[in-house]
Amino acid sequence: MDKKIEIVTILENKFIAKDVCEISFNYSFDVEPGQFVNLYLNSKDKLLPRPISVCRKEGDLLTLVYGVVGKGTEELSSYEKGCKIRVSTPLGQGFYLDQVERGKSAMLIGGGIGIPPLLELSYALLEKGVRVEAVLGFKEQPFLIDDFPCNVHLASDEGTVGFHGNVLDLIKAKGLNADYYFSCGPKAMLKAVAEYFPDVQLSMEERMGCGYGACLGCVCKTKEADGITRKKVCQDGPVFWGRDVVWDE
Amino acid sequence: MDLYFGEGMLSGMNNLDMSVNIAGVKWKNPITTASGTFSVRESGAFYDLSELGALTTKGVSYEEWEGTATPRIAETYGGMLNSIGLQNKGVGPFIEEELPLLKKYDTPIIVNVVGKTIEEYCRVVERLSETDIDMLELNISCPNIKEGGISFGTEPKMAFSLVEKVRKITKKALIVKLSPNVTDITEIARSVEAAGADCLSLINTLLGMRIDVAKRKAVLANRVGGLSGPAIKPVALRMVYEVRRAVNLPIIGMGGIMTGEDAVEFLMAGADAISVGTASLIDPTAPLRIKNELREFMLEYNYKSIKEIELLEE
Repeated sequence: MDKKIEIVTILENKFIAKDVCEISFNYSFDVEPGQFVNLYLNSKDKLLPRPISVCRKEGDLLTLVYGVVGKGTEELSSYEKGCKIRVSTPLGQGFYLDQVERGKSAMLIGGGIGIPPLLELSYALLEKGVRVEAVLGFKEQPFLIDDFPCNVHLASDEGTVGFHGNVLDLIKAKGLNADYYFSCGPKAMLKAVAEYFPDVQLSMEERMGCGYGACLGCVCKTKEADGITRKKVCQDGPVFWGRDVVWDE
Repeated sequence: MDLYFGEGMLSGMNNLDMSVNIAGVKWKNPITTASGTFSVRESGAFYDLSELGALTTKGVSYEEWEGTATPRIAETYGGMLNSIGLQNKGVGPFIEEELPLLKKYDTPIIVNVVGKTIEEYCRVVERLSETDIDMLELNISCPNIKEGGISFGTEPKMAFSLVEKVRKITKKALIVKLSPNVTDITEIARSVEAAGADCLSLINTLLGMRIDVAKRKAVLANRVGGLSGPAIKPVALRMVYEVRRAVNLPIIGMGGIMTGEDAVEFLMAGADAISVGTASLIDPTAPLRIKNELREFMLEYNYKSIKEIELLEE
């Protein structure tokens, strides 16, 4: 029995961009970059947990950045400082960092609300002596860019900040490359990134039920030695190798 | 007379006995998990599963089933829709990988069985009958599987032939899980009883739908799916009440049970035991909490056994 649900007190919960919120609270569990936590809403009509990836953990302070995309995250964004909320212990398979070698280089490719988990990853990689640069794409309004402890290349769909276009166009235009690639963002972006950099580690998103591996609500098709299998995004993922993901859905 | 010293008696407290006897199988309390919402590894990471009256597995088919496309989950007001499509690795891997894990817990094992044909159901039942599982639950009612227009869960004759055939090949206690997506649930309950079932479980999910108005598309890739959660509790309760008056078989009641009080409602409606389903997705330890709440209720209202929890009717 190593998992549980805890009640935490919100220290801060504020908008940092249009439809993007940052929430923080004290959290004693160790988290790995790429893992997520389930946040449980206080209202009784919205039952399912909201799985939110870890953006930053400093000491006991956990910060999550989430998109306000529906009624659930709307309710979450209304919770004020001091409000209590149920949260799970860390869940899922984070980024694979065991094989990462000191002195090598890593490129973090993020799009929109897929950017937050790359922040914790950037710190973890720097700690391992890896040179890090981030390529971050936004629709319009950027967020978190000043928090990255590394060189950041910006792209925006509307041309409001940085390169006018998507992250992959920017990477191609500047001829960027690295020893390791990590990416999180919209599915179309992940697919394009995985085609360009097959060795990339992707953090996938899927509509989840329980968020802890019991219901099989969220699955990702992957190529295995014995054919195609359906893995649980909440447990076997959310991080998968780009070359393994089957993109037909 | 059946002499059994339940938990309460052994601990010397209040002579409270939560045990129940379901089709000849002794459960230490009337709480089990609803099929599809429990996984031995994942749920076992949160609490000691031996605390439950029985453990009910996800649906097991003969060969591997891939399940439906994603999204498979949609939240609804006070409930959720799912169209998992019974993804599972098949009975072989189940017996090799899952069963040993389930056996580690000191509580009966109920294996939920699915199939697309009578033959398929029978093959799974044959394999499982060779193992030391305690009970079988025939899932004749999953709304996400439809094969060639055959609907075991909604046509009494089909249900009868399936249960009759399965009955002949197994001595295991046989539960049949009923669908609420019928005009009269008592009709199918009676035919299943006549075919030799030992127990009924009800209800499975109600067929439902949600639409994303911005995309002008159904939220679920499968378009429709099974509705579960507190939103369906009144319907489930009414159906348990109706079936109780139609058959003599023990009933495992389920449908939106979130609290001990909900469990009591089902017991009063005529259930002999209850399953916790969607609540486990919201709170992984819900079955244990509900068991404890039921116990508190019994203490508060001075019930000595589960059997005493009955409806007072004129």
